[in-house]
Amino acid sequence: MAVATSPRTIPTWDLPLRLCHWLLVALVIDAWISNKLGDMRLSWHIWNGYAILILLVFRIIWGFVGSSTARFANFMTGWSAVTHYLKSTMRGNAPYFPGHNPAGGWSVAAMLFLLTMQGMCGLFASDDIMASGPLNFLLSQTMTGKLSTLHSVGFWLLLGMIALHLSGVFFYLFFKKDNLITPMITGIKYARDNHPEPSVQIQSSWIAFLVLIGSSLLVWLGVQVWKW
Amino acid sequence: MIKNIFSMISVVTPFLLVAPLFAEESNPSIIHRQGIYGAVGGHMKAIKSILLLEFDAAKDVTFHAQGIVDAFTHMGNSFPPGSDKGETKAKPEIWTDKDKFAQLGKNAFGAANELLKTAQGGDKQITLAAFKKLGETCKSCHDDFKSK
Repeated sequence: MAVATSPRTIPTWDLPLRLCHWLLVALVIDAWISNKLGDMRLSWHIWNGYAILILLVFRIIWGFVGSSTARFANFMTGWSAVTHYLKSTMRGNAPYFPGHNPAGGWSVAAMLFLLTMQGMCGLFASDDIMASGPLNFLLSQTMTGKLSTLHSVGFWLLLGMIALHLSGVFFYLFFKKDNLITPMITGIKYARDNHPEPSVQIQSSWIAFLVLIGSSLLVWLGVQVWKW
Repeated sequence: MIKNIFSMISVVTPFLLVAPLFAEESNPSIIHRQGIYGAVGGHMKAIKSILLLEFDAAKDVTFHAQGIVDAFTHMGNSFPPGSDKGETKAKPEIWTDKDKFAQLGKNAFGAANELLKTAQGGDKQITLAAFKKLGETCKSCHDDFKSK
């Protein structure tokens, strides 16, 4: 008779990364709400955009100095790794990744890229009435017009990206019996008997706090420097 | 021979494809209405600087409001059929949903006149409310008839 052992826990997602993820969820929803219900100058929407940009800069820096599961170097792979992963997923014998798998890594990068483009276009956008982003004055009206169009199109691209993200999560939940949602809340995953125990190095939250302050300064500088 | 023709086509095609990007709009109706809306936009910006950003020229709101009313009264026949083609953000709905477009135009014109009246009255808060109202009438029309 096999001896039942409680599964070993693996701290996978660090606290700053989880906070960053769920704050982004809330702020992206609020970006939509504040655009629909905001005042004529969209000041609430604009502040919301600053907050999103700060989180994005934070996440990008965290991708270099954060925990091992947060680092781009550990989950950005070549295309062959992605196709290999997808093929073995179809066959049902994919290797187990505690953090992002090769396909997930690319979708993270795509999501971060889209969100960053959306935020940066917003800085230059204008509704041609009363609302304009803080850097709207920097470029010609033709350029800001095109960036405003991109900002509108970006909403739909982002919606598609979010749909893809959610369908990925639910595919793992229902078809692969792998719950990715709870670990994004608790940070904890469980080791699997048939896979070697992965090693994850969790970075200190204090460093994240410093990175967050740095990110806020960077966004503030990025907006203000053009007015000097 | 065939090879030469293909290489010429492959050189010329990209230029033909990007040429429209550099083409200047030549439809007088489009140029005129963009000029009128540009004038309205300029006055809106100036009023914004006075009412919302504390630029010190409270008396000038009347001038700018009058400018918006005047610009609207000189729109002329700015949306003749066929002028939905070109460097324009005018949606085809302008020509298929004429009544609604005309109604929204009248709303904006009414709101501009209201702004002029309140500006002449001289109360900043009431003028600001009328200004926001005008902005809303602009937006309600842009939402339906101006492509993003």
